[in-house]
Amino acid sequence: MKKKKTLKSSKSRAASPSSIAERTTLSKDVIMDIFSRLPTKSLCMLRSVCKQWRIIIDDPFFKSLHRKKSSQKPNLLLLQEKSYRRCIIYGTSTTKLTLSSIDFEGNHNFDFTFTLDGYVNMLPSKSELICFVSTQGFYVCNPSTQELVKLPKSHFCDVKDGSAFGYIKQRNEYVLVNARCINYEIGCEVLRWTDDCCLKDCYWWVVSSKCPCYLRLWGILIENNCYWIGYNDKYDNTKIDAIVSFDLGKEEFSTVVLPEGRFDPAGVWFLVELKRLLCLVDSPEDESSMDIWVWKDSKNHIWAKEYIIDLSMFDFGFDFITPLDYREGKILMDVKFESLVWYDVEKKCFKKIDNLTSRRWSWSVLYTDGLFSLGSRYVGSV
Amino acid sequence: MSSSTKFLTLKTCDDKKFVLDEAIAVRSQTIKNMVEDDCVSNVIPLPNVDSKTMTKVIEYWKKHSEEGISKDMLMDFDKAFVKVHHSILHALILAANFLNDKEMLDMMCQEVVDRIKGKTPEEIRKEFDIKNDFTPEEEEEIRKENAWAFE
Repeated sequence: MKKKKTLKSSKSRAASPSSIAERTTLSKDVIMDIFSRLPTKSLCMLRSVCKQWRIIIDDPFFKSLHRKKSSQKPNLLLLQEKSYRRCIIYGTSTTKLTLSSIDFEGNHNFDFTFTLDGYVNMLPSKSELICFVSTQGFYVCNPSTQELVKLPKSHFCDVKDGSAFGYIKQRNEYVLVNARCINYEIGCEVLRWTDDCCLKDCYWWVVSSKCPCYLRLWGILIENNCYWIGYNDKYDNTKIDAIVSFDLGKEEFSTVVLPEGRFDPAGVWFLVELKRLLCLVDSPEDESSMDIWVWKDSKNHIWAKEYIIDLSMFDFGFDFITPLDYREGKILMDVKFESLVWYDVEKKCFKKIDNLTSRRWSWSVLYTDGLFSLGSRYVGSV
Repeated sequence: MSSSTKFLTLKTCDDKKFVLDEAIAVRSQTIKNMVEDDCVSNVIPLPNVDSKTMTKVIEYWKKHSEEGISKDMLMDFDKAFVKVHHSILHALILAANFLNDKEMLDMMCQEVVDRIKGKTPEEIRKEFDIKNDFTPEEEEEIRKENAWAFE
C-alpha cells in the first residue's frame, strides 16, 4: 500500500517540468567516475544490481579507469601462512597459503586461503595479479576477485630461480618469463596473456637467445625489460657477476654494466624497482647500512648512489629489510617480516606503520586492487 | 564588496533567473570559459539545470566562497549538504557535471560511493530506485560468478 503511494507520487512529480531530477539518470561517465572509486569486491557485487551496471563494470574502458585509480593507492599482501604437506603414499605434495590484504595505513582488507600443488614461492609484481611458482608449475591469482588459475604447463619447471613476472601497461598484458638451466644451457620461455583471455589456450613461447649466466632469485620487470642478478659459478650464487637483462620486444638477453665503486662482495644485494627505475640494493655483511643505486640512464649506463640509509637502529639477525615502494619522498620498507616502515628520504628517518593488526608474515608483496579477469569465471554472458 | 563587482544572470531550464556575483559563478568551469571567451550576453542559459537544483548549487558556492570560514565549518556544511534524497543527489551530480565544478562533483560522487559501500544489491536497488531487470536465472548466474563477494 505504502509502496504504491510512493510510486504514484514520484510519477506525478516526474511529469512536472520543474523536476528533471526524477526523470534523469546519471550519465555513463559519471557512473564510471563513481564506480572507479569502489574496491573490486564491491564492484563484483554491484554486477548483480541491474544490467546497465553490469555492462559498465565489464566494460574494458571502465576496467582501465578503475585500474588507473587504484594503482595510485596500492595494497600489500602479507603471506601469513605457508604450510607444506607431502603425502608419502601417493608421492604428492601441496602447500596451503593464507594471504592477508592490508592497505598502506595498515588497515586489514580481507584474508584469502587456498591450497596449491607442490612447494610454492611467490613472485612480486605490484600490479593486479600475483604469480606463484611451484614444483608443479605456475599459478596466477587476482587477490581482489579471488580468482586463481593454473597456467599452461611450461617446458621446464622447478622452484629454482630465474622467473620474472609483471604487467605491461601499454599492451594491458601480463608476461611471465621462465629462464631455467637445463643440461648446462639456460633455456628461456615466455607466456603472455591479456585481460579476460582464456588462459588454457595460451602457450609458452621458447626464446632462442641464450642467457649469458645463471640467474639468482626472481627478475624485476620494468617497461619492456626483465632484470636479474647473474652469477657465473654454478655452485656459488652469493657472488654478483652481472645484471642480466632480457628485452621482451627483441627477445634478447644482454648484460647491464654494474655501478662502479660499489659494495661489499660478502654483503647482501638484490634488485628492486622504485619510481619505475631499476635499483640495486647493496648492504655490507653486518647490514648496518643500505645503499640504493639507481640506474638513471640505461643508454649511457649511468648509476647513481641515490639513497644511503643508516640501518644501525635495527637488529637484523638472519632477517633483512626490503624496500617495497617509493611514494612522495618516502620509501616503504618491510623490516624483518614483522613491521612496515616509511623511510623519509629528506629527513633520513623511519616511521613505523603503527596500527598494523597483522602478526608476523613470511613474505610481502605489493598489489593493485582491480578487475583483471583470468577468464575462468564468466563463462556465458547474460 | 568593491564597486567593480560584476553580476551574471543565470537562467535555468524552468525559466527562473538567478543573479550571481561573477567571482562566485566562475566556480563553474563552464561559466568561467564562457566569461573568458566573452560569450556572455545578458543571460547565461543553463538548459540542463532546474531552479530547485540551482538554488542548492548556489548555496554550496556561496558557502565555499565565504571569507574566513574555517575548514571544520566547511566540512560540517558539506556533510549536511549531501544528506539529501538520492533524486536530489543525482540532480546535483548532473548539475555539477554540466557546470564542470570538479570539487563539487567529487564530493557528490564520494557520497554515492559511501551510500553504496557495505550494502547488498537489494538494498542498493531500494536506495537508488533501480529496477532489477535480470531474470531470476540470470541473477542466480551472476551471483554464482561472484559468490565470494557476497560473503
